[in-house]
Amino acid sequence: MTAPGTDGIRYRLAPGSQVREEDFGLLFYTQQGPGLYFVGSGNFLGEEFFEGRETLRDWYRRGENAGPSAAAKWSAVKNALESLREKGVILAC
Amino acid sequence: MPAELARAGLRAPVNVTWEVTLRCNLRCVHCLSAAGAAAAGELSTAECRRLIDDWAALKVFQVNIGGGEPFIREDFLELLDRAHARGLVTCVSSNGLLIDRALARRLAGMKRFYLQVSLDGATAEVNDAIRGRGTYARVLTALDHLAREGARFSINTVLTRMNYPQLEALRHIAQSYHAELRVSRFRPSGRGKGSRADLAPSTDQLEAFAAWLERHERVRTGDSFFCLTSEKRRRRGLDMCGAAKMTCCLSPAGNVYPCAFLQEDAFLAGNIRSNSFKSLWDHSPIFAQMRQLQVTACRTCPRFEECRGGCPAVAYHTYREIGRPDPECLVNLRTAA
Repeated sequence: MTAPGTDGIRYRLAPGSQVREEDFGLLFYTQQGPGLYFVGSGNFLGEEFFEGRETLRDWYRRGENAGPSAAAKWSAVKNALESLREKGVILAC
Repeated sequence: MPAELARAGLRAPVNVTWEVTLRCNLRCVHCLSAAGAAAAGELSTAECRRLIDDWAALKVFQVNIGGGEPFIREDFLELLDRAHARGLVTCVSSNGLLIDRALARRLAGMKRFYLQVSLDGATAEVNDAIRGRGTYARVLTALDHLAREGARFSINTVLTRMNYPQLEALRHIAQSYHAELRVSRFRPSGRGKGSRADLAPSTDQLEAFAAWLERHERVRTGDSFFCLTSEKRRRRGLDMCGAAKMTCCLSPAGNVYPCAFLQEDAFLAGNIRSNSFKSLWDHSPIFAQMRQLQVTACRTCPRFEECRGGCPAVAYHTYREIGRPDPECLVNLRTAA
């Protein structure tokens, strides 16, 4: 199985955005609006991922959620991150 | 999805409504908090500092500060600076009377800060009947200071029977300052209980207001009017009561309630002087009850997914029950009409 995080993108929070971990995954807040975004990522991603130091692939490889059964979940997380990027909540770097 | 996730309970509120003092230099006839004199045992500066630090540690995103008049507290700017330094965004509701040129300049320099200034009529006659004689002119002077100093602000209007005919004029006033108009719902708590019969918008006005909102996307309502708004507008904001799920209210003396409109003994979660804020958020029985609240009578309503029963506070102040339908939702209004 290939890492579903693809292409080595790092993400960081856009100015005015914040994120915190919740039982369901990640809760994003952006000062613009203000707006709230729920990402049902479970324990796949932590807040520190958005410090921009690791790619999604790095995170995936070293994580405990890299088994075959997690592939679909990773794909959903990746799509959610791209959606947040398009909305300006996070930035690709 | 957000509704179900929030019902399960977040680790901390998304935002906290903080009535930082009950002291006020006005006696507005609809004031939800019946503000005027200070409340007994208001939190000290040191207690406020600790609270701000607790919220920042919990990763509360935003603190919505009202009162009373927040700027009447001598330590208020220090508290704002502390909140911003710890990453909290603040949104302050003010009557504007203490905002002079120097304060406007100071506020304009704050990055994590929103300001809402109350104006309840487009003319002195209407505004001053609600907020007090001479306030219209004084608020406009404050708005001039804010605009000249480049501060971002919105004008907040509580919709009443008296100012409904002036909504367009209020929108134009806001536009003239390059500000947004934010229309809030009249809630029959505090002094609003006594003025409800005279001030609450009529059924016809509320229904017409719902249609007016559809034509003015830039007019904001916070979450006040989700019981009235359409699917299109619903997507732009919170579509359910967030009390105890996403938000809660802290009183000037440290009492924690599900929302600012339910500051009654029956809804008291506890006081931060005897419990940590986090423990009250996690373990309060009344918060657990609010999170599981289902307005069962509304479940078959075609608009259920859009308002989920509406505002429990309005239901409570109308029927003394939080589990009954909001009497001012779009469906109930049409039935009444």
